[in-house]
Amino acid sequence: MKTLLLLATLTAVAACDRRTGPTESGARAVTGLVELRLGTFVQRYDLRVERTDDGFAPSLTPIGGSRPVGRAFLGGGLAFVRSDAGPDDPVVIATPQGTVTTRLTYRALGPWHVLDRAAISVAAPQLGAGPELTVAVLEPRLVR
Amino acid sequence: MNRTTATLRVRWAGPAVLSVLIALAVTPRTAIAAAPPPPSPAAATATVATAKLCYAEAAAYIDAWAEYIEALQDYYNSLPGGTEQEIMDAARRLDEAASKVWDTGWKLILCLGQYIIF
Repeated sequence: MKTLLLLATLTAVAACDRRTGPTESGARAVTGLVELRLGTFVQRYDLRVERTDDGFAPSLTPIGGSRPVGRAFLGGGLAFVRSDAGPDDPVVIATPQGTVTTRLTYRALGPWHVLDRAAISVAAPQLGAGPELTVAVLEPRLVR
Repeated sequence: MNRTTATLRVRWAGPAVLSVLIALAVTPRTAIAAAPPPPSPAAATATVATAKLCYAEAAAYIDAWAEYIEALQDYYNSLPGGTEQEIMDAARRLDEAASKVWDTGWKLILCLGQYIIF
């Protein structure tokens, strides 16, 4: 009987430990600044990514004269915050006009990984070199 | 009753253990030790399926990007000797071209996100 009680106690303690463990650290959101850049064109947004039961829910608020970003682009598109580090390799798509390379890099922030930079570059010999389209998350912070 | 159960245990356990031992003996050591890991579904998707599925988005992005490069060149060309109206028109076209690059870029990322981001 004592053994059963001891096992039950240990199980309960382990369950509590998982709930408040270091993986979550009490973080519930990430805030920061999103900067879209294409050459000299720059648009900035306030970023807030809430932790939800299903994952992460981002919202972008335009700063200054930046254009609003459609909800469709946020729903299933770019993951500003994710649980793991994400893919290392770029995605390369070759078309007759040229090759598009998309590279995403993430950096650790507390228990999560926050987008550092997403860059789309084009290699098209007949067009020459041109600027990358980049999406960067600046000054990311955890909200507890 | 107990004797029956014990007999059954022996009857079933013997062939089972024997078959496992035979399987282990027959299986080459290299097949166990050096079996290549199965390909990562995410990597496979990123290299094959994603490239095919997001082809249209990538092509649209390149088209928009090419228009942007052209508009940028027009804008630079208008600066030295262009009238104010010509410069403003070139700047407006450049702004529109940049917006198109943003839109198509988001769509490309949205497409890729379905397969590799989540």
